[in-house]
Amino acid sequence: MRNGKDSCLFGEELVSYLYDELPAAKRHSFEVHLLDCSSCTAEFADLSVSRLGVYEWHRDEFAPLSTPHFAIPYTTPEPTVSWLDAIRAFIFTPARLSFAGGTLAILVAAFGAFYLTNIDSNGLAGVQVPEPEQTAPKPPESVKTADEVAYDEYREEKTLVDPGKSPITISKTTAQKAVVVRAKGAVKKRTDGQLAARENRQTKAPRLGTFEEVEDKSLRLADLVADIDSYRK
Amino acid sequence: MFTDLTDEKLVEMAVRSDPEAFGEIVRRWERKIFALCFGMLGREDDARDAAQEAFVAAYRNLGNFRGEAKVSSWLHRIAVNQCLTIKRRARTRSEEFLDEETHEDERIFVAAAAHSPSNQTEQAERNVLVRQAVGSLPVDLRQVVVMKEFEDMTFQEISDTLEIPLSTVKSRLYTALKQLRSKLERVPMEIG
Repeated sequence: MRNGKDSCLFGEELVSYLYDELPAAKRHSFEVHLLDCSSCTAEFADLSVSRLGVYEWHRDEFAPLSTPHFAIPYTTPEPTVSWLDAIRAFIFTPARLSFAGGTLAILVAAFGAFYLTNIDSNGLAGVQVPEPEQTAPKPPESVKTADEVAYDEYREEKTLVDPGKSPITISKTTAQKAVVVRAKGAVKKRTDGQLAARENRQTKAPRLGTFEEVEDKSLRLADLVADIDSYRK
Repeated sequence: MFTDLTDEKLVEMAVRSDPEAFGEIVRRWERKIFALCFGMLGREDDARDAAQEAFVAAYRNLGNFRGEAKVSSWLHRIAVNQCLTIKRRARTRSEEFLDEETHEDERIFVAAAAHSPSNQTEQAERNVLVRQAVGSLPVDLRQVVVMKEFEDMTFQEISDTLEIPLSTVKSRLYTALKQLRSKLERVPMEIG
């Protein structure tokens, strides 16, 4: 690299000599050359002036300054935690342990109370069967004739139609006539309540283990026959 | 404990287990980085801020240091970037900073080395002018001058730090000194 002037020296050598970094072997020859070459000497002088100005600026304004303290925001690296340790740390904390224990105790107590309240008198925690409606016990089944069955139905009908009145004592003759009228095609519509009541008596099974004595106030065939006999007499 | 370890080893320790290993790096380089920032910016307070931000930025980016370059190169690069950032920030605030725009019409009288004035005022004024002249140099030339004069680094050290050839370092320094000379050339004194 040549400098801009008619210097026979490269700028690198000038700078190296200026900063005393030229190897010893080359320094001597360079100094000898400077003594004989005015252009190189002028070049060297210009560089020296620039360097002096920077050197004096450094000496006067920077060298007397003390080095400031630089604060570094150190952060402690978090230790590597495996996923298992993370789960353990999350679960097995005192607060969470006590909370879990309390919750478990409450659940056990609730379940125990539920169990105890639903156990039956025989010690069997049977399945709850919905209790049937309180109705009159079904009269003991006996072999009835068709007329007697029709009469029962007719009588039952009359009772339901007139709920507010006391049960009507109907003579057998009247009942037979009613059956005949019915047989002729008089269709009497039953109310939904009547149908439902009939269904209840027919479908609901008696509850096992329970027997309730209810005073039977309905009219029985035996009583009716007895009445008829009394009338005949 | 850390004094016998290399810079690269300290960085490795700081990344893995001991963040305070970075403190040893700070202790080793704080003066030189501060000097670099002062030479680049020309003001003590700005140089202090730039050096502080450089070390903090270096600490925060320890994980990004891959060990392919030297720690000194890495620190210098960060410091120069911080200096440029501060200078840019000052420019947006329209502060009078290092005068990049040389006073082309002004020629500054500088006494020759053989006739250095003893007047402190003149010396102080001359220092201001030199500071302005250095500040007007291109960044790559300015950095070499500052590293040579303020950090007192050898050409080989500058070459290793900047990761440029030795001849390039000398060439840049030569060019920088020549430009400074043209800015600080002698003017004839007025006859009044």
